[in-house]
Amino acid sequence: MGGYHGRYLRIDLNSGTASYVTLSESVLRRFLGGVGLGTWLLHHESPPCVDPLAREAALVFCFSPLVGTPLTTSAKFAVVAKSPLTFRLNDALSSSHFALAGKRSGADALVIVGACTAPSVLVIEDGAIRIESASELWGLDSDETTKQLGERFGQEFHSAVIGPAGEHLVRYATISHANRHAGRGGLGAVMGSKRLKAVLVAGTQRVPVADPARVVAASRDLSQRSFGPATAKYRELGTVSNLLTFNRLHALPTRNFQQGQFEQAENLSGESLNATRRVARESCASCTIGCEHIYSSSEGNVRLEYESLFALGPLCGIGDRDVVLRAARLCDRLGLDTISVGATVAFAMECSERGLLEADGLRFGDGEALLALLPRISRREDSLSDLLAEGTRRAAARIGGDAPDFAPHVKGLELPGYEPRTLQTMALGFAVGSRGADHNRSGAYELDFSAKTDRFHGSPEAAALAVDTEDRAALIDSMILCKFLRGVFTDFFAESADLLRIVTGWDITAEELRTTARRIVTAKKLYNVREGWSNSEDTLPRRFLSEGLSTGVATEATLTVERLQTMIDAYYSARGWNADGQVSESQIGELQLTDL
Amino acid sequence: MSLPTITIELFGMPRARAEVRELVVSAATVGEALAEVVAKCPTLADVVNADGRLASQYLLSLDGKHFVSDVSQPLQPGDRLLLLSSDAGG
Repeated sequence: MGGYHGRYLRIDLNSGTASYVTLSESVLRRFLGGVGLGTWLLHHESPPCVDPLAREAALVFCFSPLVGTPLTTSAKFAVVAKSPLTFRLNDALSSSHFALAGKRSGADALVIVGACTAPSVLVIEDGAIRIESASELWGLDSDETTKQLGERFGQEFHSAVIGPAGEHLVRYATISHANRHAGRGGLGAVMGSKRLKAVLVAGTQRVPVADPARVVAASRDLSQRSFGPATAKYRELGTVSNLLTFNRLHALPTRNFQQGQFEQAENLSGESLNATRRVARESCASCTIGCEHIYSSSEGNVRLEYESLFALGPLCGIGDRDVVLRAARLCDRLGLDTISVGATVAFAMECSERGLLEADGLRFGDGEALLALLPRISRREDSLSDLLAEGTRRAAARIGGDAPDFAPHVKGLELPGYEPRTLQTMALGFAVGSRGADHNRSGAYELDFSAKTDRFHGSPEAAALAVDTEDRAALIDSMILCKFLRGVFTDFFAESADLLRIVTGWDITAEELRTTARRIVTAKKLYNVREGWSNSEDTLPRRFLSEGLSTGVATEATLTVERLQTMIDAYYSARGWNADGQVSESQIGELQLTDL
Repeated sequence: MSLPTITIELFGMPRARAEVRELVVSAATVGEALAEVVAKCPTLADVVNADGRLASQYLLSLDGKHFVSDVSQPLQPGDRLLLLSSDAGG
């Protein structure tokens, strides 16, 4: 079996010990790696109904069979844990040298349980661990922490770190590596609860692949295709170019989802940013796309993606591009998920304007207030920032009144930058998502941006197509490759089977991978069921189901409880689940999930 | 009989390559409009495949309401076609 060590490293911070645990070929073939294998490990290593911030909770770093090969974009890892924001399964992906060094440390995954008694760094080198003090690092931002770790441990070590937000258990804190983040769901808080400032990895243990010559040839081919038109948008403009398009289509969430267009969109547009602020373009390790566009701000250069731009800009009614860039830079350093913190501040702005929340006169459009709030939230400095550090669901429950009706979350995870009333297949994707409102685990928006569906009138016929986008995401997140590559494949499942065959040596087929993808999606669902999921969670905030948008063609777009439920019912049916969304025993058997 | 006047709004890659926000063309169908776009802006030659269909890295929306894939679709005077980069994400 190529591509795998066939074991994971289980680290118990309570005792300061680690041991290898064998991963059978059956488990690896059924769950592959990344998000899939991480889900299997969480089922087995995290106690049922554990508090995500308890010492018993498991934090999983998961690599993949492709990590370490020359395949473009393969230097990725997944972080999987029970989310302190949603109390459901959370998986987040990040890129670069941590994945390469982590796999060379001798394991296909790192499972961390227990907690340290004082701020610490966990050092893993060729399977041996040591825990060292982080007392001088505690309180530092992610950039400074990474810099000091580099000086202390040398360049052969690569680190995943938390900023102040993770230390203070902000429920949407990130884990960062090389200025990229495992961003969603509060994994940084899980790491902070274990008093871990950083995990460092290094090693020399390379894994052979089954057919080295064909892997090299496939890598050349994939790299060549990655230079083509399917990735040109990411390479030449970056995702920030979505903003003007979404604005034109009434799909740009504005002022806490009260509008679908922003009057200052031109000023914030990717086109404007690229013309006035872009200073560089960079790539992750092992990537030939180069989608990272770096922009200048008055407080330094910053990488900016559409999601950060929408959340810190239009969602908060802010049109000053320097404010948005500075806010994004602050979030990177503090370790805050830009989507969740932007949505939470926007929600607070609306609560303040409605008189539901005493927040020093907080108003939409107040960029200086946003910039001042971010550090306060990251350290829970006062009662307001402590409230906002909890995310919109918990904040709304405490604020009371009708605040929960317009708190923009699903299962506790704040919505990304896709207006669900004008993108109604995406509305379905948000409602049923295992980690909550999510644009990376469901690509249902691709159907809204196509002639296959009527985006203003979601229909049950779209459910099967939405399922297919989830399955593709589950597979690509488990192999792992970057989703920005998806357009270069002509037959994604068949070509994925080709890649896995030459890396692992398995006689794997496209049909097997379709089943694998369904298995992984269902395994996530089963984890949530174990933790208390019921179908009442598969919905959207009341705002989206009772208020329309008031401008232009968007007035035609109304999403009702009944329409959404019809789509959800069709989704459950397309998944083969029961009418109440539960997974039947027979399907558990068919998908070989009986060991969960 | 004169052809309908159609406005093409450009976003993302099309706007970056054409270096204009919109174009005005005369066309009776989506396919004719695309051919006019390419004629006016050679930098957008890859918008249309050899068979005249829209290339997969682009999308077309009619008046911001419906996405269009059929190049034979007739156009009416005053229609606005939005030419976009496909794929979202990020």
